[in-house]
Amino acid sequence: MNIRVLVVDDEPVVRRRFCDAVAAEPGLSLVGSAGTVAEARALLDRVAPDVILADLGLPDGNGIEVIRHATVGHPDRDVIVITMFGDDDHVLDSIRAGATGYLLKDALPRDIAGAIMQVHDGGSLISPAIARRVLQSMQHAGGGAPAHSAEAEDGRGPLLSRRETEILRLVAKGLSFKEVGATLDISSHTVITHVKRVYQKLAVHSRGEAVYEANQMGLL
Amino acid sequence: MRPIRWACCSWLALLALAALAAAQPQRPEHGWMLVDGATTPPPASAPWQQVALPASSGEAVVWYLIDFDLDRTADEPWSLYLPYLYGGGRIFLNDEPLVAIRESTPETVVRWERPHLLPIPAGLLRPGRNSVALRVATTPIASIRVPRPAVGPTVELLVEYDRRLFWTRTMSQFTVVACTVVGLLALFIWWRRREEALYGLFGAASLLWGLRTLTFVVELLPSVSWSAWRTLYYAATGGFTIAMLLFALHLAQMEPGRLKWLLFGYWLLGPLGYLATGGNEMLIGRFWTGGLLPIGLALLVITITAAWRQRTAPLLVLAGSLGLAVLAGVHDYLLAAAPEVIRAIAPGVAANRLFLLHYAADILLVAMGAILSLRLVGTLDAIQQLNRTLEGRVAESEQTIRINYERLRRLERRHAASQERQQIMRDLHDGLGSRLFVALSRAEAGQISSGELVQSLRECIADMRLTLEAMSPEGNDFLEAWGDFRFRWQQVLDSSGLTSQWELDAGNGPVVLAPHVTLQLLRIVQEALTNVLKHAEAGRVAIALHAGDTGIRIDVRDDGRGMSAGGPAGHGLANMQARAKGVGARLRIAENGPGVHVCVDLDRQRRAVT
Repeated sequence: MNIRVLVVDDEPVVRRRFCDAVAAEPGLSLVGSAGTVAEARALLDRVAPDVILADLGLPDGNGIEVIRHATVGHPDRDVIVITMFGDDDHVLDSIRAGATGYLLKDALPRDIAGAIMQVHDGGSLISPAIARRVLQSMQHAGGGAPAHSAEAEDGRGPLLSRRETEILRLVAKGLSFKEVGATLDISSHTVITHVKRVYQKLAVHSRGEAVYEANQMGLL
Repeated sequence: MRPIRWACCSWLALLALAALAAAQPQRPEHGWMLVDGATTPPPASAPWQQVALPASSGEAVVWYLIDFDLDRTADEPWSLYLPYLYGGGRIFLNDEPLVAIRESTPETVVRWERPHLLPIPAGLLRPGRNSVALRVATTPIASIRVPRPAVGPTVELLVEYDRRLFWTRTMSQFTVVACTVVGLLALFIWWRRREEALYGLFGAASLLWGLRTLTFVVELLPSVSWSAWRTLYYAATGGFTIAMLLFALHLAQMEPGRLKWLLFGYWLLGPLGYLATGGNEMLIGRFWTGGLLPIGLALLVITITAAWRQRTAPLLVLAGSLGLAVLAGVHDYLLAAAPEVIRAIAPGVAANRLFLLHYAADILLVAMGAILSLRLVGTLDAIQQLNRTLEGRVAESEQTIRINYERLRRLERRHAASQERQQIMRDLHDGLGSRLFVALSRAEAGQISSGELVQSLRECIADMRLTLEAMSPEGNDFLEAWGDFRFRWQQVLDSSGLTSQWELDAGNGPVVLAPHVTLQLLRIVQEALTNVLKHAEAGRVAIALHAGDTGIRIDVRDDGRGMSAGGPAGHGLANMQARAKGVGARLRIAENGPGVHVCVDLDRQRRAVT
């Protein structure tokens, strides 16, 4: 069964590129494309995609809303955020909102298809810049303590495991998944699964934080 | 309890009665004198003349006969009390020799300052008339002076004797010691701090007064030394007066000027005149010493005027004690030179023959010492205040310097940041900008194929990524930028089918480099890798980074066909060399047989210095 893909980008040419890349790949089915948040929402409810490629800068809102809308209630659904350079703050925000991967805007068609299939297969892409940002955000969450010992405030235990932290550190140095795997004596597939789990943890953690904050504000 | 108290009270009452009953000392107001050189009392039939006591005489040897009547002989010990007998003499009671007080001889000069209490042996007194005979002689230094004696119970007279002994002897001894110690101390202070003239003058006055007093403490002196001794006395007296005057002038902030030398001259006149006249006590003692009195009076007037004008505590105290000293000086002068004046005004005082200047001068010196102490305390307070003020100012200055320094550092940082920005901007302008313009121009002229345009734009994007990589690390850590660079290029090399091998040899800490230096280093490596991709036809490429405290070294080795076989264009290599030179790095490009070895070396320490 093909992977159902939805493309959300307001730039028609770029959207076309991504759509073409998806359509050209036998294992993928393009189930729709949207240029606004509203369109994306409507499509999401209608076409039930497996993977969503989402740009963040949309004319009627932020792509983060699309990511939230897509992932709430669908933990198995993957969102890949489209980014210019793979290092901006929005990528981290997207991950917190539930995105499990990113794609560069100038990615080649085969890279686009590869990334979609990789994410669907349980792995995630990560760049050194994102790894650094995740580590940094963990340090802030842990009150300055080293990332691997960072504890969630409500005592749910360390947010990231020692292994996950190690992987992020190696990635931050610019090592490829293969090299990370070789260094840690695990397969590169395991590495990308770890990375995806890190993304998911971040999303859950930030959702937890949101609930906690809502509680504090008396909303729930 | 009560009986005991009764007993005590009775005993005290008895004692009081006994004291009342005890005979009061006899103090005859008249006596008889006879000019006679005999060594035993002349007979009563001799031509004695009645004199009032105390008496004086200019004759060579005079006998005095002093009678007193007793109702009965006492059981307790009695004594004869003479408040003074400067030249000594022989004393007989009822024709029996009582005592011989040492007199001057050709070898020794005697001058007793002390009073004399002469115990009367039991049985020598008799009821009725008793008579004391005194044989006294004129000495070269003083004429005859006989006090009014007192005869009475030793217990009674002892008190009087002790009191006078204290004032005439003990006090003088104390003054000598105290003046010497204090004077030397003050002179020492002046020696170390010459600008403190008051200490010098006070020290001089104190020492001189100690010396002068010493001439009264020493009662026996070899005759040969006498002249020198008296010269010292006059020098000390005059010096003390002059030092006092200068002290007062100084305190009143008046400049003595030429007057100072006049005063010095007058001072020298005393002792020198005494020596020159062969020890003329009369001339020097009366006229020269008398001349010191107007100086003292002038001193008093100056001080009182200054005290009146300036109303400062030191001047007021000095004026008060100077007033006492001048009064005492006048009294002493009159007592020595014209006793009848004193006798006319205050006979009781005259009879005591106490020279008051000793004590007035002591008071004066104490006052001067107090003034100097107050000044010292004031000075110390002022210094403390000054120190506090200075400390405050220093702290203020430090604060200002710190603020300025921080401002300077901020400016420097801003300047560095601005320089950095300019470097990056120039780089964007010359690199990315010119590439885009070339691509644009060629596209507009239709001289570029779609493939070439894509290639060109991809290169531009890659260059932009490189710039962002160089600028993004927090804390300018080269290793972060290298991580991004490596990640990006690994994907590029992978997708090109080139096997890449990356080696990293760096410590755990960051490798801080200015962003534009990082940019140029990365650009050199990027260019090298691009060359490998475009021209080398290589199967694998090895990139190694060594970053240490001393420097950074990056090696790129490929196994391609090398430069000679149509390798990278000369322009590209020159470009790389220029970049390396621009950041102070060394670039070596060599045939590696097979392939090319590009090595860029940055000496961080050298960079830090330049």
